[in-house]
Amino acid sequence: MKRVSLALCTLVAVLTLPAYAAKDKPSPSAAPAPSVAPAPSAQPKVEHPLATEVLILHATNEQKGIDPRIGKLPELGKPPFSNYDSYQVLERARLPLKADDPQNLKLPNGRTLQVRLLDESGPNSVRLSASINRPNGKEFLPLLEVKAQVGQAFIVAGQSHKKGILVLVIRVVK
Amino acid sequence: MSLSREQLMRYHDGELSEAEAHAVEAALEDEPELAGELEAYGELGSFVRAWDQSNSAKLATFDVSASVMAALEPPRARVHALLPRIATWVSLGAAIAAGSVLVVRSWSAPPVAPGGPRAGEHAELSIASAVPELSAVLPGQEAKPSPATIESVDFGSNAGTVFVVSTDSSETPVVWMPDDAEPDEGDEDRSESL
Repeated sequence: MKRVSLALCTLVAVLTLPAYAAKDKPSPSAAPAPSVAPAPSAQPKVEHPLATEVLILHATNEQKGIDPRIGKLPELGKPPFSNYDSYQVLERARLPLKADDPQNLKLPNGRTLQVRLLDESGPNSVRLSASINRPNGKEFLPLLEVKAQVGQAFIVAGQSHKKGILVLVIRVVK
Repeated sequence: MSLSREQLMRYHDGELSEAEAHAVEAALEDEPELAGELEAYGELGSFVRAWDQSNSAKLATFDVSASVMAALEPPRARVHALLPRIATWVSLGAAIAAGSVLVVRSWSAPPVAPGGPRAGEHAELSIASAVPELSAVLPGQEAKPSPATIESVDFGSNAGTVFVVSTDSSETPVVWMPDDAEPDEGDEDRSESL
């Protein structure tokens, strides 16, 4: 019976130790996960602080086509964006993501977009909030909370502007 | 005179000297019970001889190796009887080990990146929750990066929808807010709204 117990213990150890060993090794294919990230106190300083790049587009049906400055944005060819045949870049802005310093961007329709960092869940992953306020102080979009990684984008669209609508493409960048 | 049992046996076997034999015979005359004992030795000798004759054939053909192997048979039988139990324990141990590996790997695996809601290209959602990406990637099809996740939206007094626009290369959450309410101050033209 002792031999059986010894064999079982050896088997369990042989099968489980590689898993423990693999736990400490970073996976080359997977992105760094927050669960294996070092403690906040041990995190290295981020060389390039995260920011949001806000691309303000004006969508109309004036048959002007798509502004080449937009670059690759295949979403514009999908409904409901495909309901407009013209997209022009009105502004491109970079807003640093800071938890204690909300960044404001005045929109072409007079409203203000505010972006704020809520928390960093990883070196390339953030939770941020966005809101849009009217010039009179009334809230248009009181609160939008988004979790995104570097390179990921979300779109806020639909605000009326000059026979068209505004399309805000907000992307997390470094 | 008292006789020892050894002397009596040696007398029975004819191993005593003549003088010793006379002494024994004298003692037998004095003590008749010794004669009975001597007679018993005779019967014992006859029994031994008879047993020896009946088993001489067996002794001649006695195989030591066969006897040793026969003696080893019981433990071997025990080993055979233990094998099913060992197999059961090993299977149980393997199952426990496999479970441990799965648990450890689930602990060590990176969390699933949440994906945005996906209910068609223009499905209306009251709120986009963190729904894991479940779409299968066909062979030869490029895997789409997980989209950003709309965790919560407060539309205030306005109407709005959240949906995901899916393209070949990406999935992008969209917050759509058509504002056909009262115009803002300073906005020149808001006559058109989707």
